[in-house]
Amino acid sequence: MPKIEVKSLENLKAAQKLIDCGMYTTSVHCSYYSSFFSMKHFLNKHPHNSINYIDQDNYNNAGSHIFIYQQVYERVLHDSTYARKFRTEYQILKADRRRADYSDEQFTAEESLVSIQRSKNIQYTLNEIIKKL
Amino acid sequence: MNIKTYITNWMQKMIIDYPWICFKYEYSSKRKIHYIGVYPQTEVETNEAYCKDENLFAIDLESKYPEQIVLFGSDESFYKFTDNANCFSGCLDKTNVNFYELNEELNAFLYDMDAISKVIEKSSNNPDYPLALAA
Repeated sequence: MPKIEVKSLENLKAAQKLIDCGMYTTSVHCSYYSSFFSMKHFLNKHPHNSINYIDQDNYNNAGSHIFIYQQVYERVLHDSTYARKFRTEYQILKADRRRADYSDEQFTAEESLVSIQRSKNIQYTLNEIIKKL
Repeated sequence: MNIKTYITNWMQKMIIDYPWICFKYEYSSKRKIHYIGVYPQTEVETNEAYCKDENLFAIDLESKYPEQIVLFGSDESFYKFTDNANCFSGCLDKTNVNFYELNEELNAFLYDMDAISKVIEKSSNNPDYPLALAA
């Protein structure tokens, strides 16, 4: 299994473990990164229009997340319903991650579980799109 | 044009094109986020034409207002709208009622009818059963 995919899975497991420990706000951070790594993996393994990890890392600056998101979004737009699912779930999770990391807000167990579900939804959507290509 | 007007105009166009849609819109000044709730969830998520329109509008918004954060969502955990949220619906005149609330009202109505039917049945089986109770 590619290391990025392992990182994605580990972050998802970490998100659940942090909830089990009562660290709900920190868990959201892991849920977000789990989906982010799965997006990088999606770009790397895209059968017709891939971007390898080295080229992805060339955008390893403040705008790297925006770059990865935009590249993935362009590759899923042909399927309107999946594209909407991906966009809405990612944007909500990204905003939640920002609140979790930078604001003084505390997340509840329920909110953190929803973040895990959003991360899973993103990964499911990307997997389904890859299957159809 | 400010972003609130731009979003409002788009929602008003959408409820003409998709009369079954209900929108809720609210700007959180604390979080600096525009929240757009789109309902009913199942219909929205499976309607390709609407999803395409929303996808294109999201790209348009990012291009025109790159500093603003606009979140779309259809699930209940997306955002807890306050009573100050603006509601737009193509099929309802009551601007503060969405499909979920409407369904609740409908379910409550059906439940009441069921209870009334049972009382009427009892009263018809038993001539001594006070009809006043049925009323």
